[in-house]
Amino acid sequence: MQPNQTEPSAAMQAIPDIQVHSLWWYSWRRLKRNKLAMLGLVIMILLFLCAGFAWLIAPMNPNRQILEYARKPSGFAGNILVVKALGGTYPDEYIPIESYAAGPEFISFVRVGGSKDSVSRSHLISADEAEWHQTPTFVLGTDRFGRDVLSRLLYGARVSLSVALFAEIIAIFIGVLLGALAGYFRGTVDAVIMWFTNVIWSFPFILLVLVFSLTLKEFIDVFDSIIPLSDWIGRGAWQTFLAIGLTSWVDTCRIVRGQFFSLRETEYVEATRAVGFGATRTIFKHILPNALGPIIVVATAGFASAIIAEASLSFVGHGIELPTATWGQMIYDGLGFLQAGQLPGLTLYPSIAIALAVFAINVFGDGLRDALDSKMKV
Amino acid sequence: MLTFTIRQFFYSLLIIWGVMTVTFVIIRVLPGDPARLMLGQRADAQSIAALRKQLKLDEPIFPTQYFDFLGKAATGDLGRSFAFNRPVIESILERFPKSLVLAVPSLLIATLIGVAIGVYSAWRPYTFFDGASRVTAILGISVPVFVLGAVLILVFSNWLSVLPASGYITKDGGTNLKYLLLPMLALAARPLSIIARITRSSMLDVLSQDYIRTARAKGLPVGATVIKHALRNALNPVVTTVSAWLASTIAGTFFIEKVFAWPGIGMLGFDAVLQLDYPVIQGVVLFTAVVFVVVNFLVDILYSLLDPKVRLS
Repeated sequence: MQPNQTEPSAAMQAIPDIQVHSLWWYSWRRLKRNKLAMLGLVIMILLFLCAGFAWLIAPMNPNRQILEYARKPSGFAGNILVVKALGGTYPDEYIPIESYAAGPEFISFVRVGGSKDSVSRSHLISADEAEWHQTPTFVLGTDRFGRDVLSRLLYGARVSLSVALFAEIIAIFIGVLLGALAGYFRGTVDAVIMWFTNVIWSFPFILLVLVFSLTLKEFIDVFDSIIPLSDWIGRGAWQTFLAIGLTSWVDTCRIVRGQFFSLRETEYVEATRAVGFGATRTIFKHILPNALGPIIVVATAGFASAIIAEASLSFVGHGIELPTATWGQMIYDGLGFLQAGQLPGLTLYPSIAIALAVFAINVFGDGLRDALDSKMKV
Repeated sequence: MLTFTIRQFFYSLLIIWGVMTVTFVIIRVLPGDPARLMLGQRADAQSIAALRKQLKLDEPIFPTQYFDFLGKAATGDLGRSFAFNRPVIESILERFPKSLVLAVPSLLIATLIGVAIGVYSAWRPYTFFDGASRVTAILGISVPVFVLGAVLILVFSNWLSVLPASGYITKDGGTNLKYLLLPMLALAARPLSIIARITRSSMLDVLSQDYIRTARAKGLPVGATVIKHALRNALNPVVTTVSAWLASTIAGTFFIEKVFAWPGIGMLGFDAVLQLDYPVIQGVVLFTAVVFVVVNFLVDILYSLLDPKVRLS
């Protein structure tokens, strides 16, 4: 028996107290210290909450038109009677009024515009005055059809984030697959994949997305019969995210290829070959996990540019179809007024929404890159 | 050098062939009748039949249609525009110089200011200026160009009324450079931000190297060290970025031109998309992609003259 084993020195005793953490734990600790990145993360979480709970927090139905209240400024307070609808999309009908007087059987009122009218109590949506007479506040004003801009912004977040997320998942899948194949096998496989990557890279991105989406438009119904995305997000969701996803994998592919180029030369990968592992196992179980940091970083940047691409598509009128609210469509609608010097809010609010979302993702991605300490240039 | 040039030339041709093929596949090969797609839902049977014949759609896709398409595209025959009823290539060649007038000064400004900001940020890192410029740069790449364009119009045209909101430089008869300022600013913002970021990180790398410390230790003034010793070596990634942006700025002024009513190739493409003028869309896509490849080829050659390492890689 050696003396050291029965009486360890003070230094040896200290060893079990040192906690060993994973690389991710240290990265997260570094990330937490980066205030700007944390701000980005908080904004992102808030935006996702807004998107997910839009139906709960939006003050009004985003597509509900009150034509009498078209083009009202921010903070406009409405004054409406709610009566039973005689048909149409909604169970109730809004009558914008200037004033009203409640009688025992009839409510007489003055419509917006000055004409007098009355409605019987049995026609009201309920007996409760708080329900049949409402004064909604349009915090950010209304658009040219009298729809509530704030509600449209909140629902627009849902479109932007979900389409961008789906698109980025497709892009990551293609990019990782092609990048891994090119980087692992090199030679002819690499030459062919890089040629294809360069071809796609040569196209003006947004035009390629557009042409793709125009072609895919023919197949919306086919896709929808498999998964009815049109019902969940809005008509045109399939073509939009497929078009963006199928064209924006180039950056991911290049990064993954670069990572594989250097990782395949390391000793542990050589060891997998010596043990006799197949290519699939080496690529997906051994190399890919070690390239995950850069992939996450490039994925956040890709997510940000997918949001811009979605907004651009709806800006041109070929994204999610009307009447679904999207940020790009709102900006395009507002631009006409802006060029005529009216209603800057219609352009400004959705612009701020897009800029805020993309800014948040980019600062978070930046912080992530610093935290993961991958040697990537911007 | 000659070998390098020839190799790059043939590789570029290979890329252009790929660009044509992808365009062909998207528009012709994917299911759906291109003639009906091009003429719209309400076209009558006669004009659809005529277009089918003109595009040789009744013949097999491969090889007849494919080689017909390649041959025509290679000789500049991109079909006729439905909206203007004239050859697409004429419209493109007429609009293209106007896009250059916008793109070239934009990128020049983006490069000069971007490099200056990047160098100063790296020289005095973690100061207020550095922080502010980094946040601004992230903001610059976060704002979609059409949003930035709209905001610029709002501020300079609506509120301050100092600059015109839209129009080409020859709008009022003579040349009026005032029309160039806003679209140029909007177009420059994104490359400027990226160039500033790349310059900063590249300069930070270089400034921490031993030879810079040596230069300072032997008594060289700070300015000389930063400009002559560091910047020269930090510029490589910057040149790569600028060249990539040169190509895509020339090719991709799509939204800026529409927002500012600048009658270049971007606006031609944008209007074609709104009107579903397929021959023009296809022509603009092909043309801009080819311009992108050609500019990249020229920059590669120029780059290899400046830096012999490129030739050997």
